[in-house]
Amino acid sequence: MSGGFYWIASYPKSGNTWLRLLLFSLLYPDRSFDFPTGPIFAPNIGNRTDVEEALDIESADLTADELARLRPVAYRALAAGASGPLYRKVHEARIINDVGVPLFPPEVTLGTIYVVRDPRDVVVSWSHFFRCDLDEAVAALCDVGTTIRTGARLPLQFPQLLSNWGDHAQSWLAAPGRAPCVLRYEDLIADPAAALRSVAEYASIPHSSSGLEKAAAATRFDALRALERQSGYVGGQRAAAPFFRRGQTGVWRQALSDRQTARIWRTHGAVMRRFGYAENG
Amino acid sequence: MLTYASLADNDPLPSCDRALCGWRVASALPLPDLIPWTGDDRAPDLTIDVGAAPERLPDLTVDRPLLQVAGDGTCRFAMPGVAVYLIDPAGTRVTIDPALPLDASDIRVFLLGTVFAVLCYRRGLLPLHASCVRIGNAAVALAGQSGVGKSTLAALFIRRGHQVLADDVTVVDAAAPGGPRVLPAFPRLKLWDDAIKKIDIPTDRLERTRPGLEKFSVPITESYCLEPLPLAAVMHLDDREPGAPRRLRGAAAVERLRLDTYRRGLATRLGAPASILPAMLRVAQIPGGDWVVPHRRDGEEEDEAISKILRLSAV
Repeated sequence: MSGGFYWIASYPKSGNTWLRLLLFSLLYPDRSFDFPTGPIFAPNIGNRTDVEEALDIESADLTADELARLRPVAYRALAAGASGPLYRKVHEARIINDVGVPLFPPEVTLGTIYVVRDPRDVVVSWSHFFRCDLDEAVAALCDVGTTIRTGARLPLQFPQLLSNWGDHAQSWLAAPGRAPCVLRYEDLIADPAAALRSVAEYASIPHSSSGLEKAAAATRFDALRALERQSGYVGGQRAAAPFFRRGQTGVWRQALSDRQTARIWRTHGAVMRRFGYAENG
Repeated sequence: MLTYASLADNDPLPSCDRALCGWRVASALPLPDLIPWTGDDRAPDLTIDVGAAPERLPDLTVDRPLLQVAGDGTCRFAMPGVAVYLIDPAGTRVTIDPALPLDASDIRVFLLGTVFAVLCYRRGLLPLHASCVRIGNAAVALAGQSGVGKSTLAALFIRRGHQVLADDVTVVDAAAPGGPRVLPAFPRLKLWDDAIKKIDIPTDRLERTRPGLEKFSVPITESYCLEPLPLAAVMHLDDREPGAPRRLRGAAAVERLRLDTYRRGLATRLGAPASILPAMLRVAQIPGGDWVVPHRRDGEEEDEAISKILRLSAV
């Protein structure tokens, strides 16, 4: 098999970690999750390690433009040196750098698994994760400049430009090359084994019905919550907040005001419709 | 036999005479970060000159985006827009082909980063991705990935009256008689503006490490330890580790040292594992041990981390 990347792309709080745990369970049925420090499967592309390994350079010594130019160079080198598929979690939009080169090069992309969730539910989860109020969360999902960065000047991960919720989705759906495998969080909740099967087929991961069922059982939300209570989970959430919270759909109906839902629909309604999300839920 | 055009062949360049890890360095490039050489009259251990570098080295054994290694062991490291660096197989000469004026700080950043690591590997030394402080009569390395807060912690140690031996790259001579020793590098910290605020130094007189980065060279001459010290312990700072510090032993300690080796991919590409693995095995057996220390970069946690490290180092 040739080397290249599968990007597991999503806006934050859309089920990316959950899908990666499902894939981990499917690929390594005999291994337990690496709680509390998170799944080792499909590390975040925002980690500095990939670039530093590929280029033998200290990423902290690079300017933002140099980094954006060198990241695709690094990913091509990693793909060239890999004997099989590399999986990476991506929260960034599908960004093009200042010299017109995509950060995630199509020529070394084996596929993209795009996980999407009703942005109204994303807002509720976002406000818990980042400990901000719902208006701020709504504003973040509507702002093309939204970027994940930690408080420090030199974050452990690169600052990651998400853009707003709709542009993020469109940037990935419009990627050249193989069409992405789109997975709705809501479908993942309703039938995790079936959703996992579609990903496994897309990424040519060997799977059996019993393997899919076992992976689904191992990653039930109550099981993950129990594990988190026991060992903790470091997922980047604000202090004292649980990472695995509810795993429910439609919570926005109780949580958001009419004004907040109207703003989301006004900004993202057209893209939401593409994924089957209706104005009144 | 490879020869590269070098200005030094026909032009006696103004040379500065400096010290790095106990090596005498004769350099055509100004090296204000390094202390002046005050040792004996020996010939330079390392010569840094300026000259043209070829686009491609012959008989490549390694051909990476920024790094080439020729059949005879010559390395070429290129940072676009800054400089190309040629390093001879023995790690005794660096020829710089600059894309910027010679005194640009950018050239020194990569010279004292990736190129420095190549020199260490060529000389059989183990460069840890660590800052290093003096605790008592021993050196304690504060290791971890970029952004974990090594330099900031070193600066906070200075504020508590400790000396520093190295910042970001800690060079260990693991084969030294009497056990692994840290070779002091140079008296400066590289700190981001948010870290500098924590130690109350005004930034207006500091030099940026590179224009466009809010990262400054902070001279620490008075708090610099000039003498090599035995390496007592390695503290692996980890932002994802919960709970209390835990000691690593055996294979786990070696694996963690491997992860916290500076530019560890280089070691493989330069064929250095033969010297690096025994070095890591020796470091894994130092008296104070290898520890994973949970570390998050906010004020209270940093103070707590220092107390923890002092406590662990006292054992």
